[in-house]
Amino acid sequence: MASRWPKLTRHEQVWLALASLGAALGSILVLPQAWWLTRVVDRAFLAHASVAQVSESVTVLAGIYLLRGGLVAFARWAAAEFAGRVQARLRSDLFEQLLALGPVTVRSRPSGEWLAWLGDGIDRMEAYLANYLPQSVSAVLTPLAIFAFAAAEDGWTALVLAITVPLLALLMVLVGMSAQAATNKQWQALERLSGHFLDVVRGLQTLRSFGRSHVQATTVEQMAERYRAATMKVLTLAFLSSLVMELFSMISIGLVAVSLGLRLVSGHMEFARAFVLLLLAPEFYQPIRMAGSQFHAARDGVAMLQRWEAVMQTEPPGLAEPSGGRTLPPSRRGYTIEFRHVTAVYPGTSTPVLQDVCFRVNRGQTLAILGPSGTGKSTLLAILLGFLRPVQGEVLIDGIPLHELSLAWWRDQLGYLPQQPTWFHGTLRDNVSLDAVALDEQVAAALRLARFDPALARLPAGLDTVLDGERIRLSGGEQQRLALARLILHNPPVVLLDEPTRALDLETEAALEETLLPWLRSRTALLVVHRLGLAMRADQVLVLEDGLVREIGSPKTLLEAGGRFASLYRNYHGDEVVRV
Amino acid sequence: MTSVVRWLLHWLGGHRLRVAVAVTLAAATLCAAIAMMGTAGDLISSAALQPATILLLWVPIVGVRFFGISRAVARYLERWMSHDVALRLAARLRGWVYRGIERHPSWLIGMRTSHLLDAILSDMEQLQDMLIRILLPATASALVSLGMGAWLAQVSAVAAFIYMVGVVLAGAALPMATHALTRRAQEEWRALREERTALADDALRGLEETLAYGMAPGRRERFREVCQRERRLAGRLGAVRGAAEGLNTVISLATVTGVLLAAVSAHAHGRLPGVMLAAIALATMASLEGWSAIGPAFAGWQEMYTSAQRVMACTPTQIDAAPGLQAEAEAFTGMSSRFIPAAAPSVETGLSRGTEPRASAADTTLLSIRHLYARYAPDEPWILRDISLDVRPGQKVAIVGETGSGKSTLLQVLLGFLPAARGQVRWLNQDVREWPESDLRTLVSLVPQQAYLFHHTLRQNLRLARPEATEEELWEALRVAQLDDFVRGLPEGLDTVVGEQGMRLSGGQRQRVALARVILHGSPVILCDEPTAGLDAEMERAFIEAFFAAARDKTVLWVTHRLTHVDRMDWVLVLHDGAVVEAGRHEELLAREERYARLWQLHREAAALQAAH
Repeated sequence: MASRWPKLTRHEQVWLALASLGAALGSILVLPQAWWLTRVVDRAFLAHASVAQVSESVTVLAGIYLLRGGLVAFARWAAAEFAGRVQARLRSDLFEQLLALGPVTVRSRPSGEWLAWLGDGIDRMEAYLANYLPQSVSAVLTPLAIFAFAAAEDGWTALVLAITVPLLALLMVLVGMSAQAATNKQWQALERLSGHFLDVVRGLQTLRSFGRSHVQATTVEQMAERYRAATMKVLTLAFLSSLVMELFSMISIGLVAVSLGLRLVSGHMEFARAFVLLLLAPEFYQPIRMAGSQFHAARDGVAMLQRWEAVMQTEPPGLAEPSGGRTLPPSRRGYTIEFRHVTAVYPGTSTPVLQDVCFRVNRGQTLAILGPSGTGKSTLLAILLGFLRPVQGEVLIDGIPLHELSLAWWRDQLGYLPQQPTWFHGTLRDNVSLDAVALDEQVAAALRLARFDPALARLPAGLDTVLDGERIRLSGGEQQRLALARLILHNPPVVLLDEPTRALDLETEAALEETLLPWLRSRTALLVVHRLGLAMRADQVLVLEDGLVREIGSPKTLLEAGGRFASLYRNYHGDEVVRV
Repeated sequence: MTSVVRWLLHWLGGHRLRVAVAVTLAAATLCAAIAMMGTAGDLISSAALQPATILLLWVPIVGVRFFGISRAVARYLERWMSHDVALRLAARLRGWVYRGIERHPSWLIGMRTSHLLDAILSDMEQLQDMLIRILLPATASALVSLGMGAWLAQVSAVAAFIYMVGVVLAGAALPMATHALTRRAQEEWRALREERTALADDALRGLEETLAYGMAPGRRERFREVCQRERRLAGRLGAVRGAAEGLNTVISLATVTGVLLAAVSAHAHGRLPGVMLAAIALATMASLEGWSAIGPAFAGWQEMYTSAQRVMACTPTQIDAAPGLQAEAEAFTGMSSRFIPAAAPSVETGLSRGTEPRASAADTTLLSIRHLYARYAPDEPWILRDISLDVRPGQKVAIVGETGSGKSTLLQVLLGFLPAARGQVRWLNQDVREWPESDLRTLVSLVPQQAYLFHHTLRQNLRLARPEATEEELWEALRVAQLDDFVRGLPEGLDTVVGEQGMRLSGGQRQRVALARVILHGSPVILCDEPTAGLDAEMERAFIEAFFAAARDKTVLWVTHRLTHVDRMDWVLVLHDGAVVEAGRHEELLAREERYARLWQLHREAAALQAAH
């Protein structure tokens, strides 16, 4: 649903009212201003008054100027306050919503688009919020006031003004109709440009390694060009509409002037009245024309508002924080996790990633999850993280459905090692502690336990080394160990690991397993693995295939059963031992 | 200040004519407005004197119409032209920002790419505003005001003086005061915006960590706070802007009144006909219109200026000149822009691509590394120390070593991404720096440790490696990468959009897309950086079989920390702490019973240990 008017809080409404009032009063003051200016000219011109004789009127005029100036300033300020408040609210709400939507929704769009919305997009609402909305009141009031004055002074002038307004409005509507469509096209071009730009800059190394990076320059240029052309189309429409309105109002003013002039010549009208009406005629059209051009400038804001509303109305695919969510008594060894007939589907797709998955991990136990890539291993962890809600079935934590628990509390119990850890621009310490308060000794101890200390010794500034989060100069194995240090430092009772020993050499893996295993044993752990090292030492092994539980049990029983796990084991065994 | 102006002039150089036309049109708009208002004042005053015949009024009536229409048309053309110039400039600069980075990727080190996005969006908008709202109208207004002042001087020196005082107040004093008053707030605002972008960027890039590590509430709070602080600044700036606008209204109205009074006095002394009074007042008002938006716009000057500086810093001429990049720039430009046809050997030369008998090709050295030293920055420790290696066409070389031993860095040097600090790297007897970039990319390709997938379809992600690839070739590459069954099972097949950084695919699948790309690319040399890191043992084996079957005639440098398949390689290089500690054939190294033998032992024990369970 496309709305043209944002829902406002009470405070915002007050600021908008103040801004509108200030603008309207300031604009209506044009009436007395024209009146007194006419007096000066009239006296000096026809009565040949000296400067001293018009000084009284000049003083009044000065007063009006000051008042007008003050009102203009006040209205601007109030409008800026209003716009600032709305923008701050929309922005932080959008940010919160992105956090609430989680990775499943957010990753379905290039992050360049999100960033463009959060930054530039909301900035562009300025014209809509600070100009268009507050001035729409004076766009109605000022012409009405001038019309009333004209009606009292001269019927013909009032008649011309009254006839031309509906025509002007019709013209505005005709040109304005295609404005939103053109603006939407411009926005699409902008989103494409920003999404693509960030994508290619982040993937520059890949492009270079195929010798394709320079080709992208042409693509970026084409997108920039397309955006330019779309913008120009929007602007041309806006300028055209101003032109049409200006010409039209000019003709109307001309009509007024001619009727006044004719009567002046024939002596049916005195100079002062004609002059004041002539001064006011452009002021009559000015607010309407202004509203017309601001209507065009405001399309940007409306486009953003529509996007904002669409995002805010998106249903999070994962769990939401329930009101009055429950918490469980603290337990250092974690909690019993049970999946009951869980089926999961990613939004926008129809094939389930997980089907009827059932298993139970008791408090303090370790479950290893195995299976070919793309069979839903990581999805299983995503469900526990609350990133994705099962379409069927239930996840129980100590017998309580996961969605009834306080999400913030539950996530505090979790530690998660993703397949590709993200690094932030900041010091090594910040990258390990992740906003948590930690002593240097604690960080150092975690790094030691994760076997990161040899790499640490190589870094020039130790814990204070500033990492380039997007181009981190650590090898895959070092990154993996640094990510483990994050986890260890946070000391969570429930641990979710997605391929913890990925990219590690055997020596490190063996050493790490020695330290990691006792650490894991003291908590509840789910490990996605593709090597059997950790799986062999887990309490239970779950083999997933095409989203279905193929087999589950202790490694020993599974080996003896001679199923899928046993054949994986034989392969592993054969690959690394037998063939020498 | 001057450097930004010079830079802007340089970039505007290509649009010199358009800029001149835009300024002329802006001045013409103002002139038409002045003429129209002046004639209108004259018309009504003449009418008031009740001339003998209406015909006497025809000239001013036509004049008012003519100037009015001219103003409207000139304004339309002026706006169209000035925006056209600004948008063309922005589009060109956006393209150049990418070109600059593409030429010097190392310039990005330590930088947030999202700030770069800001540079091509928000900063570019600011730059456009600087041009459209300040530079162009100020030039036009200054010209017109001078003309108007000269005209007034003919009428009354006092009026001209009052007018020029008004112009200086509105056109210089007010902007300067506005700038001085808002400068700090604008700088503060910019800092806040950068913080906001950083927060948004961190939260989006690291969404999983932010949520899973309980960072979300704190980040939310900080984002909200930044927005609130921004709001307060916006209010403060709005107040100054409003005051400037109000003051501007007062100044221009006071100027009009002052000029009018001077004219009245001149009239009283009989030096000015009465019909001119209204004309002068209205014309003065019209001539000041140009300044009305400029003063308040200076509440954004600091930001526009800083934005211009930032965009300037991102454009190639500036990157080329950036200190510290000079030496490296040479290494890179040598490859990217300077083509050296004389010395560059053809990729096909001396390389067996399956057509030539291997024996003859084996005489040529494909890759020769001599005493190579490399590090990322002059003040950092060496990552590679004294590496030497020869590779003949068709050879399969394994580079093994623990994580952090410099294996990946070596590949970076071989690809020309990192210059050798000392020593030499030669492909086909030609220094890697002297290779034209496109030729080197045809010769060598890389399977990276972490594949980067673009937010496009699978097909586009693959075609990147070879734009002209046919459908069969795509499927063949997928088959080698063991990905064909998966893709066939997708409802949209090759047209599936993989999502931001390929998030719709699992880690193992992403890795295999990267492999398929390299297969498709078809270069005779393939560098692999732990390509099987995300695969399970079964899949790893299937992959290795398929890969080496497809790469039978190719030269492969296989970086690994797992020793799977290493025994079947032609040559093994063992790296430790950046140096070669052992090199030779698998059997030879085993016989030496040193580091490699120990690693191999461990490799076997790891499995044996599990077997014992």
